[in-house]
Amino acid sequence: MQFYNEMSDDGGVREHYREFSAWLAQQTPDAIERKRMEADLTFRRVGITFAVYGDNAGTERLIPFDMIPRIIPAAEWALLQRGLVQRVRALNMFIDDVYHEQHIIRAGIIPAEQIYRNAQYRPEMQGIKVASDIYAHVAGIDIVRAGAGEFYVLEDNLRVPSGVSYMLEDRKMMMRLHPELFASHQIAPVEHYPDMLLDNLRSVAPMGVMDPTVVVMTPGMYNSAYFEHAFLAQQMGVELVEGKDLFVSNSAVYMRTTRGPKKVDVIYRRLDDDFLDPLAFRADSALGVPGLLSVYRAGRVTLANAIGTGVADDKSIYPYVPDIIRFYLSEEPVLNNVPTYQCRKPDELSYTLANLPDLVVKEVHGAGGYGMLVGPASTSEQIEAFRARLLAHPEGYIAQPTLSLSNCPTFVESGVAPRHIDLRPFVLSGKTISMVPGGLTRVALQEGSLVVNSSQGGGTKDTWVLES
Amino acid sequence: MQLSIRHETQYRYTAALGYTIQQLHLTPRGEPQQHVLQWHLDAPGHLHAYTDAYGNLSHMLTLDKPHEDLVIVAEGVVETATPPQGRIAVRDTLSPLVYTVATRLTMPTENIRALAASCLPGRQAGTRDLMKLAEHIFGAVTYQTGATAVTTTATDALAQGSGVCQDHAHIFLACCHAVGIPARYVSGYIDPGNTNHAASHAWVDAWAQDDGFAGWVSIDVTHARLMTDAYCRIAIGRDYEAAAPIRGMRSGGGDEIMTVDVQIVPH
Amino acid sequence: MLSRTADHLFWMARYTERAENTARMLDVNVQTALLPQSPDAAARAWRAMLGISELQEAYDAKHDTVTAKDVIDFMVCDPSNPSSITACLTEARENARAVRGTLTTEVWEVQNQTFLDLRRRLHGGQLRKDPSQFFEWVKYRSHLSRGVTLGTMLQDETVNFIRLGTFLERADNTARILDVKFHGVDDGAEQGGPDMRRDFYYWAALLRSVSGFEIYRKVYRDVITPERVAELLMLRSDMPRSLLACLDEVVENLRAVRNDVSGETERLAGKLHADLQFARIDDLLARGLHDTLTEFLARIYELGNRVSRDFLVPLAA
Repeated sequence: MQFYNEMSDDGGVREHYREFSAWLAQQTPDAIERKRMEADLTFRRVGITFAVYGDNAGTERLIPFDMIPRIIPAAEWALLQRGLVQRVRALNMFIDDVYHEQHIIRAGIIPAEQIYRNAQYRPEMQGIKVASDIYAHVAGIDIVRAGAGEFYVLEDNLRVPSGVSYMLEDRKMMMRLHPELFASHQIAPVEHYPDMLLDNLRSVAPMGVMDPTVVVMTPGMYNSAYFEHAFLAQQMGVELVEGKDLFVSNSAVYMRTTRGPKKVDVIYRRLDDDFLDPLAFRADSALGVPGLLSVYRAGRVTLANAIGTGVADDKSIYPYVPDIIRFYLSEEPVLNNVPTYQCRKPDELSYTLANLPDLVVKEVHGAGGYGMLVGPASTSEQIEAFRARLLAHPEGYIAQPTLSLSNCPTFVESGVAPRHIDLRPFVLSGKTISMVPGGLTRVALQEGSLVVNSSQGGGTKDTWVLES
Repeated sequence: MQLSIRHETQYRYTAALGYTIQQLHLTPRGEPQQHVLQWHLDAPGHLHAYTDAYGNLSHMLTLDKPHEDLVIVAEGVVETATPPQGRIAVRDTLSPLVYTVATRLTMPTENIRALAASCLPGRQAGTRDLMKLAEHIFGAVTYQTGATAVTTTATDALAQGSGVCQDHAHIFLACCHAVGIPARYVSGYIDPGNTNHAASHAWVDAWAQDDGFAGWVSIDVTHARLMTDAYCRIAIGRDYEAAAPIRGMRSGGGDEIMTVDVQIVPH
Repeated sequence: MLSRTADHLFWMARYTERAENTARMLDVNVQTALLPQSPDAAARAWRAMLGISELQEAYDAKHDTVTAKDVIDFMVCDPSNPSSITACLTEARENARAVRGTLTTEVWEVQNQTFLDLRRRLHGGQLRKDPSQFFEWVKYRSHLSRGVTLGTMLQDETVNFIRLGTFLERADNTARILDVKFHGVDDGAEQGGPDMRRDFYYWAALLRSVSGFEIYRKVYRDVITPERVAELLMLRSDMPRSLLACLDEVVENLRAVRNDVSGETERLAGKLHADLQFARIDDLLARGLHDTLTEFLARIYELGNRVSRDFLVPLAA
């Protein structure tokens, strides 16, 4: 299969990589190795472990960082940015509609069942007004490049998207290791993300609050994204709290401080809806705050992201997103979906069954790259086993053609070799929609692997958007 | 009929506690077949009144001063009427489809599906089919206090063959979920008349499709009968956890002793 | 700052201090065990040490006799002793880990390294071969911990709560050591008359355990007497490990973090401080040192509980 290579094509190195390629050619393997070790040491020393905080042996796991950046020319980024703003705007309007008038259901575009039987639909949000009508304050949109170089949106993450801390720390590391590259290239800065995020969060405080108190709410240090929670809290200059630090009283939320209870106005919460309030959702959750939902519904605290955004980022809704864009914005989508077959539809199910060896089949309610079939990489036994599961519950699956993901040169054991990548820009919505240029580039470190998730052996790269 | 209701809940603790939060569903719902003549809720601390996701009149009680006990009293007089053919004409805030989703307590499994299949024709069931299901459950699950807990699932209660009104209701709901019929949990009071039956009660609303009618029908599974004017409705939800009269958490306090007293008499 | 964060810092400091003081106590006994004495007297001394930390029952559940080796093992690394040095250093590190984000890298690394080195040293058998050296190491790591805290942390509430933890614990532990050692005096007197030479080594060992030997000489320029030892270790604020010096710190740090509900706690701390500041050693001795110290321990314990309640995470009912 032919893959789009980010750095070069048949005619040689692409223009936006020429400067870097020339620099790379001048580096000795020793120099590179020294820089790699320096990066490793620094990450460890400062505690950037990107994973669970230590075990009893006192060692911590790092997520691999690759020093060859993924470079995006200005014009390409302009297109991506336009598409992202459009998509996130439409998705927020969709969520608002689902929890209010439900025009899109009345218009027959999406069946009511698809909404109501979605476990992420929250009756608790029906009819509730949220600040600025924004639900997904932080959206992580996963983008891939395939085929001859076209971009596709692979997945929308509107609940608790993570990874922005890696983006920021990778940039910091690259600037530290190779300052000369930042002199020879015009790379759009990203360091202001925490400022933008804080600004956004403050802008959605409950009405009448003059100087809002913002906090980051974490499940705790045993959560795999804990570093990011602590990092963002520290960068924004706000408290990092767990459920047990908060309590509800007089229909407001307070945090327990050494100076007494302090009212909290905006909670950037990094735990799932289900765990937020044991009186409203999972009763066994020790991570939440009893009574939080009642304060939220009364409009006396803002949650970012809002409760119930999962109704829009489920794989069962993904095939409708182009129609969602058309319905709310009367525009054609700038960014395309990957062609998707909904197995709940009989003709699409037949197509899928007939083409299993060539397709990627995913569970509709799943995350993290598990529970799926990658046809071309599976044995006939695995395919048959999956066929049985599919036939038992067709409504639980969607299928997509295998994408020939673009690859990017990456440092491997034997030198430099192409590895598959994706891109996750982080889109912020508040009074306006904004983002820092680029996002997190994830790379599948195993040769031929298409799975970029850090929990399954992926790594990251710095992402450079060139300024013209 | 006019029902005079008094619901007193007392918590006593072996040590002082600094914080209590209680979610209360202790106010009769505003519905066409019941009319609240007087109602009063008495509790310490701060009471935040609101309408929850299911249209229930709720209160969030918070108390963050040191205390060693907690007494909550709800009382008043309600005028009730028997809904014709059990049909409840409630103005719903949510689509009935919301009530086709199972919870941990009402998840259909093998034994539930078998029971559902034996009584319900499919997604379109009439009042008679639903009553048949109620009668089956009434026969299959003996009323027995102490056999189950508030956390017992429908499938476990059915397997055990004994339980209380909460379990009867959950089993009924699970059967409806198995075939896709909207059904919801109802918590409230029942005038026990001359029996020893507790005044706090749980039953169900199910979506019935009869000739010329499609809507909610209210069924008392424990007594295998349609709801009458002896009932007063307090809260609806997907299961006990959503509709429970009192649910809360506290911090500190040692051990807790809870006593509940519900009195309901014709006024 | 968040109460929970301050709570972790407070307990990180308390556990570190407790480990250090346990090491000091054990070291005193190891030194005095070198003096000529009857096996009974030696056993009694070890037993008295278990008494300080109220661990006699736990010890007796595991051992039939009292020997130096067994007591040292028990106090350093026995899993059934929640106040062992190992337990304390583990807890200190766990608390530090929970609030790693609020600590400087240096402070975290010292805590972490102490914990890792402890295991190495115990596996290497240093405790058996040269217990004094082991105890020196524990003391040294504690000094280091305090040093990096003062040297690298922003001097805000974080440091206040760390120091509250350190000095509440130190006051408690020092009072206990004093109590046992003065009880030991009574026992010795029963054996038939004071022995000048033995007394010297006995008190010298105690003074060294609180790093007070040279200070004593400087302050009193005279022979060592129990009365002056008591005065130095209880009432002299220029002696860093004295009870009064600890209360100086407690009062000062409480003032710095004062909130709407801590008024009564501040008053009680101030009163305890004043009682020490204006006490006369002769009055305390006349009353009986044991009684004085017992009352002191009760008041310090109460202060600790109140601090947890007013600022931190209240201790479970």
